[in-house]
Amino acid sequence: MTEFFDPLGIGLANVFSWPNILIPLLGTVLAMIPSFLPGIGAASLAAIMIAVTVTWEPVSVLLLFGALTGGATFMGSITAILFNIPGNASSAAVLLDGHPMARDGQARMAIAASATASAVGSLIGVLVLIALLPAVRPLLLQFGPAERFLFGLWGLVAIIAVPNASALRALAATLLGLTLALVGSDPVSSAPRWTFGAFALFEGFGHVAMLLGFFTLAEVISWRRSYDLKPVAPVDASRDSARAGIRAVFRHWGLTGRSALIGTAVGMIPGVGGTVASFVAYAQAAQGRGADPARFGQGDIRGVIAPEAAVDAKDGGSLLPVLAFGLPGSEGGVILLSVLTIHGLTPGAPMLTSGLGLSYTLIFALLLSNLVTSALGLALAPQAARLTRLRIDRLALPVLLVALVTSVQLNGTLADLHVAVGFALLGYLFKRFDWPRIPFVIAFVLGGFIETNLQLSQQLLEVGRLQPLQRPGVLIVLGLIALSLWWMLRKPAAGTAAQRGPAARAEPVFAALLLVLALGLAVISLTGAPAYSGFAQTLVWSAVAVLALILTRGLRAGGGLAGAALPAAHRLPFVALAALPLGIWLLGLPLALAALVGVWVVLDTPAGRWRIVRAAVWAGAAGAGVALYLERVAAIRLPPSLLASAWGGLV
Amino acid sequence: MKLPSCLRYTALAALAAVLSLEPVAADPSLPTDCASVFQGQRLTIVVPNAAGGGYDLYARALAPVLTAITGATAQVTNLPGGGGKTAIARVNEAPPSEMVALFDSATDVIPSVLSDATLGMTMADLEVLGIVHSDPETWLARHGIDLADPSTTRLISAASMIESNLIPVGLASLALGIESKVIAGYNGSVENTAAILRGEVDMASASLTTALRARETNDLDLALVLADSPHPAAPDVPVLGGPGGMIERRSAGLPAPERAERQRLGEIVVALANGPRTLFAPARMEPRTKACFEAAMTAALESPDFRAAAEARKRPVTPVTGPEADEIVARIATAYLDARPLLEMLLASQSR
Repeated sequence: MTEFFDPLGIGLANVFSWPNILIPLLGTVLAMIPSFLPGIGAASLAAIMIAVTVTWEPVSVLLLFGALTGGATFMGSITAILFNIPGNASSAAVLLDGHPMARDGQARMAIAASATASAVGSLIGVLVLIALLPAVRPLLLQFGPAERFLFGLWGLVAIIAVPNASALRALAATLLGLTLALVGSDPVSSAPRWTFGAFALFEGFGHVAMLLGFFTLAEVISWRRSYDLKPVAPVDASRDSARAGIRAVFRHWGLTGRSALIGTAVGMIPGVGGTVASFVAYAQAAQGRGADPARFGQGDIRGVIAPEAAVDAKDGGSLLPVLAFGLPGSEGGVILLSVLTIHGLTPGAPMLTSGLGLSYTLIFALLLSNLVTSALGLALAPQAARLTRLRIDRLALPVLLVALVTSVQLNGTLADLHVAVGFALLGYLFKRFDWPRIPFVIAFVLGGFIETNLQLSQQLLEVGRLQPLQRPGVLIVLGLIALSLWWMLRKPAAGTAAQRGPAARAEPVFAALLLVLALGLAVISLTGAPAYSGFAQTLVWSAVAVLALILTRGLRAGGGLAGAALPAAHRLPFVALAALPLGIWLLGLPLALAALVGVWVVLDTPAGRWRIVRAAVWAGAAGAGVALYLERVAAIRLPPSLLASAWGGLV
Repeated sequence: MKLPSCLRYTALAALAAVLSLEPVAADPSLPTDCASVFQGQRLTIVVPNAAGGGYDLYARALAPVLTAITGATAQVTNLPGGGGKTAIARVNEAPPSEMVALFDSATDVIPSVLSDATLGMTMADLEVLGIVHSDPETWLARHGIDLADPSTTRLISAASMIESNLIPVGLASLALGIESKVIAGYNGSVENTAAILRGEVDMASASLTTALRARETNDLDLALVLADSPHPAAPDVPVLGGPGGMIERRSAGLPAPERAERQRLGEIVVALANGPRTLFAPARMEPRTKACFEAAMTAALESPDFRAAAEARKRPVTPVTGPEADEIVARIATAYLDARPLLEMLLASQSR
């Protein structure tokens, strides 16, 4: 037993001794900086820290990088809950219910639940990690393409039952999400698919840009002049308290534990990532005992607890492949592997035997960092919750600017901004016409993952290197899928057509729009190019068929143009966003955003002699701020606009 | 209270970094008129991979040295996507006044530029600034693969894409008389390695630096180096071509024309699988700017500070600059153009 406990003691002593403990605390603070602000890469920060720590002792380095791995996760959820801006892709699942809770006057409870779930999830992940570490190598080799494919499929099957008034619309949304996930390149032939020659799309639509658009920007469209929106409920300690949030995590202990185990398992599979973990956990939460799917997406606290527990438990699991085999499963893992190599630490058997103490040092530093961020989250909850008292229409412009600049900052190109804008318009229309957004998003997140692993499994079957029925992992996930299907058959569909908003009468208009989009993609797929595999064609033509059915039904039910027009207050943001790419092409990003701000302020300010001056001041400040930020802070140089090129030519 | 030494040094380094925000004079070894070119400018190294990988570590070791030499701010931009083409397009489309360099393997850049018409460019659009290090490709295999054994006639290989596997696995297998089947779709070298460990495939190609690191775990073998003489970093590992190479050993007993053909294939592989990690600048950069940028890059690559910083990150440095670097890259481009019909045929046979 001493072989187990001695290294454990070494790990604990390395982390929790003075002044060593300062290092993970410093790492936690560092990790929080990019987590609060989407798009400021945590990976870039960690890469810079590699250079800073080249001369450090290995123990100090592990303390720092353990903290950087752990601290980067939770804080992104705060912006997701408060402002509907996911701090990172994996915190997007938290906003599905976290933001509705905040709008319903329960921000404190949502943040507290999120922080507590994060801490508990992390603790469970680390405990599992400690228990498995000495014997982890054979276990890790059980997760091959077949298991991953079925795991993704399980997430998809589970989510189709989540809130929707029509199974047909949920199916259409799922098929569309899967189809759009395939934009990029075919995983086998690597031939481009639906990219229209744009290299920026070769890797598909970026998840963070898509999520920023589909949730944040789509939401902002409806924030302008939203005086008629239900105001945030006044603070009522009986409805909104941090204590209630903490208690909720323990009241739903089964859900927390299940989600943490899902996160740990996902973390152990290289290349899967926290986004899949959080959405799969969200999906299974909606299928849990006593769960009413109709409440998910409307502010159910279980929709906050499940993804948060999974994402933070994943951090622990993600260390396993790096330590056991030197196989990083994420950007953070790549950096950690570089750090180990630079400091002469050999991943693999040595880190699990003679170097076990160092492995535990890394793990405990990660745990400490997760616990510290959760404690800070709890401490900040009351103050942060006050931010929801701000008038939502006043928040619209700042949130819009932050989200747009963030999208540019993701990869330093305008392509992500275009993706975000496209999905913002789509997301707004989904909301306006009362279509289920969650199946669409989860299908989008899982689509590429499912296709890649399906195609790998097929190839391995062809060469006789895969015997699915002899793999325990395959049988276990097949069992989970069967359980989900059984659950779906037992549960009736949630909601009825009568509960839907007035815009639902104009559903044929939206169905027709989506049908045109799907049909366009389907026709392109007929070109016979190898990228349009049977899988891709089946999906896109199925989407066409289901959308055509919805359109036909809608027309038969008397639906039409009535109710299709956008509310007057939403037209400016909708049109402005739609026209933004053109404006950027003509004027450049800072000037285009300045123009957007100027027009917005003019239209929102009562007539008077200072109206234009005020708009000009705000526009100038926004344009100059964006230009300075991109140039001096983000160090991004965008291609010159048409105006700049013409001016350059003249000069 | 005494802070750990690493924290004290880091605090000092941070202070030094803050102080260094003040403009620094350009290195006196640069041409005299370069000081005004660099003043207030920014130098960008575009890396087509995510932060933390091998190329990124090199670039981040190079950037501060460039800053010290030029007095301008040097920065690293990670631009993954499109199999490296997004980064190529970014550099190619840079305005002529911008000092920007692409840092990628010449053996990856050349096929992309020459075979993808949508990039709309030729190799004349890129100029070589210098080579940081050349790393041959290898075959990383599961234990028990013996290439010298004539009964080894079929191997299954893991790859991200069939195209990138054509030279190091497809063509090399042909030269060895081995039938290779590629399982494509794995996500990069990490996934390839995991697939070997899980027993799904027998081998995968990897750069020598990656393969040596993977071999350290004792889970995998370094089965072959795609070179024509033993590599100093792996003297015990068989090589593909040259005297005593694996082609010679496996083709002994075959008719002379077939032996010669296999050797020819081997030469193509060796020429195309020795990946020089190269810095490219857009050819349309303003001449004066380019001359200063190239002079600064040459000084940085040959600087002991860069070597020390890279080696501290366990990254070897064997810099090549000037006409010699141009020649190396031009040779690869010629070899690629010569081999293109063969590669297209191979691609057709390996694709679905």
